[in-house]
Amino acid sequence: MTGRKTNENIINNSISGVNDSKPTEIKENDDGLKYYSRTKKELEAMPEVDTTMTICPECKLIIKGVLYKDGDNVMIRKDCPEHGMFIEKYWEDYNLYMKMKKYNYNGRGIDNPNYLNKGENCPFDCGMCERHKSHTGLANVVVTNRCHLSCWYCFFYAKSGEPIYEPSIEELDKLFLNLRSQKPIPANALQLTGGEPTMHPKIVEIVALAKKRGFDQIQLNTTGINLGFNPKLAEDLRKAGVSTLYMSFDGVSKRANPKNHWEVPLTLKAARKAGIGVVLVPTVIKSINDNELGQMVNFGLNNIDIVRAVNFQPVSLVGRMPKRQRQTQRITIPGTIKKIEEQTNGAISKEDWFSVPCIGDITKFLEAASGAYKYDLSIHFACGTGTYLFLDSGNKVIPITRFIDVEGLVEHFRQGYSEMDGKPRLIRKAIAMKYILKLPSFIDTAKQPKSVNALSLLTSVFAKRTFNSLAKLQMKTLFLGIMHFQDEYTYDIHRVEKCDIHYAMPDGEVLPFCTFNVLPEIYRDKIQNQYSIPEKEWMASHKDWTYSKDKYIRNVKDLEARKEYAETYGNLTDYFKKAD
Amino acid sequence: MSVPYKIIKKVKFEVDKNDLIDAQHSARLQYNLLKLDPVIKAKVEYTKALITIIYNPKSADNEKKKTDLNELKEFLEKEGIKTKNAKISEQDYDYYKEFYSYAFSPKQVRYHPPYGSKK
Repeated sequence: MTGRKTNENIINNSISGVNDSKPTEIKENDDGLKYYSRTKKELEAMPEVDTTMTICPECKLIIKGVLYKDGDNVMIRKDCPEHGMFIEKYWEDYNLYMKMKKYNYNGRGIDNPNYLNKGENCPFDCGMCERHKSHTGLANVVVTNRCHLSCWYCFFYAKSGEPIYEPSIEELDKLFLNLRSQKPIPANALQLTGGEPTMHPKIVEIVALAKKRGFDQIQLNTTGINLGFNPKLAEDLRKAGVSTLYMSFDGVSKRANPKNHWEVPLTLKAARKAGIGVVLVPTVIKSINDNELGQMVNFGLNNIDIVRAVNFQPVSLVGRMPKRQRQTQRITIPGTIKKIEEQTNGAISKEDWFSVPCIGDITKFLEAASGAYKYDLSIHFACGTGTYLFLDSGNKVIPITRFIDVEGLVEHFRQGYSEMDGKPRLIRKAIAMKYILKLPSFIDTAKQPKSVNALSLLTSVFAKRTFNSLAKLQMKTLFLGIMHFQDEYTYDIHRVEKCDIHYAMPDGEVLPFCTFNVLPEIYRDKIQNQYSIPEKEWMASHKDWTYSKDKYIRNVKDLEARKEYAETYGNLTDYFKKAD
Repeated sequence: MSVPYKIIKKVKFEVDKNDLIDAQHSARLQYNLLKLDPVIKAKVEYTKALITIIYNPKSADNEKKKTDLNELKEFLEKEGIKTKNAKISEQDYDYYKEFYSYAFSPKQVRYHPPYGSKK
């Protein structure tokens, strides 16, 4: 009896520890705010890093954007002749910016763009136009704008009185076929989104249809709540073809994650039973939840059997807000990296991250070796970074860069495909073999996790000439990603034209993420409204439906009393505890 | 859900290039036109001094927001485009055939040869 009571105390204290976190306080004279108060003379004296084209946040005039160095930061300034100067943080680490920049390259784009347009008025010519420089890496399809939550910051869901957007299976099939017909690389990874996609009454059939159309990877962008209460749905979705739940997760504590803190335990349980991997997706907002980044990684590690990744998304500040609020809440990729390093006591350092397009050189090597075009991740280097974490015995967390020389490997394969360029097939294969045989020199076997044979994994990737072998890697690791979507203040048209996260629209067009969401008045909302059904018409054809019936009502007391809640939030191992 | 538009209108305005100011202002004009609910698509080509608008006319048989040529002219005037001297041509536009069907079966505008083949 005493032992059990002690155990309960530990669990309760762990849970209250999780919920004790306090947000970061930003003082009026915070050092991070000084970058916004420079005079014009000071700004013009600062060293230029790059130039680009951008938009005025007020009137959308296309104007020149100057990226400049201020202290350790890369900032962007733009001067509208009508609305004056705008300054924003672009990338909070100059050295990291210069390191990541060298991986930037142009992809192949789309050879059969859905909208005949040369793109001179980018970003107002979208549809996809022929100027675009990346093929679709991840295709997003909105299956409904109904949602069971009403998050204060969200513009996606239908509010009371607004039209309903919910395509039929036949209409969605057209979008799937459209995506799969893209040339030279058909879209292969699909994310079904909303609103809340599990509210579409035919979501299982939709997934099955997408699988039939040839999508290898199908994700569901979800709160996870419906699946937590209906584990059978999770199983049906898995059988139909869902491989991953892309689940909102804004923090470990109730305060940071009011969205689904109480339901996450049930969702993880359902995901485990169904065998669907989970990606935790925190929207990072400075002064709101940026103090829990380390805890979120830790939570992922504690659930590494089912959590495949934590994909941080520094907030995009779309829409009107007071200037001071924007400045206070702004955080970029390097700012997120820095906080993760601090909050993990250096276990995951700045040097452990690599820019997404660094994979480009490896892709080109695989193409040259195999003689076939491969899936490309040619996004702009400032859009996303990542790393892999391995859990070793003794609860040791080892980032991949600690035992694989990732930079050296990338350079090695860059030399490899340069040597193969223009050569006949058999010669290319021989050259490829020469480079693959040198793989061991990039692996420090003394530092690799005991459960991993890095050489075997990497050899498998290059011998089979496909990244599919990395699926095995993902079962043993936690991937950490940081994707920073743009807003009107950080808008960089060079990033827009390389975006590979695309939305398939009901009118046949395909749009990059940062036009769809940053300019919703001419893209997302406009086109969805054209294809939406007015609320009265929807109610006439859905007799028992009301807007309020869609909404989820939480019973906090009941959820906190469940054993899943205690099991999930109590007894968390702290993988980043400082050694005594 | 069916296609929201059937036969609508396409109008072209050949205007004075000076009214468009420059390429950046032309792009913003295009954005401002696209914000209008009855405008389906708009293209402002600075080099050609040409404004093309596909819109949902008041004569159209659908329940969506509508406009007419006079309202579009008024809008353009407010944006600094003198439409009185513009050459205007308007025609019917089959939304389903010319826009929607094309988007779902787009032509290949360029060709990547098989990997390794000579260019």
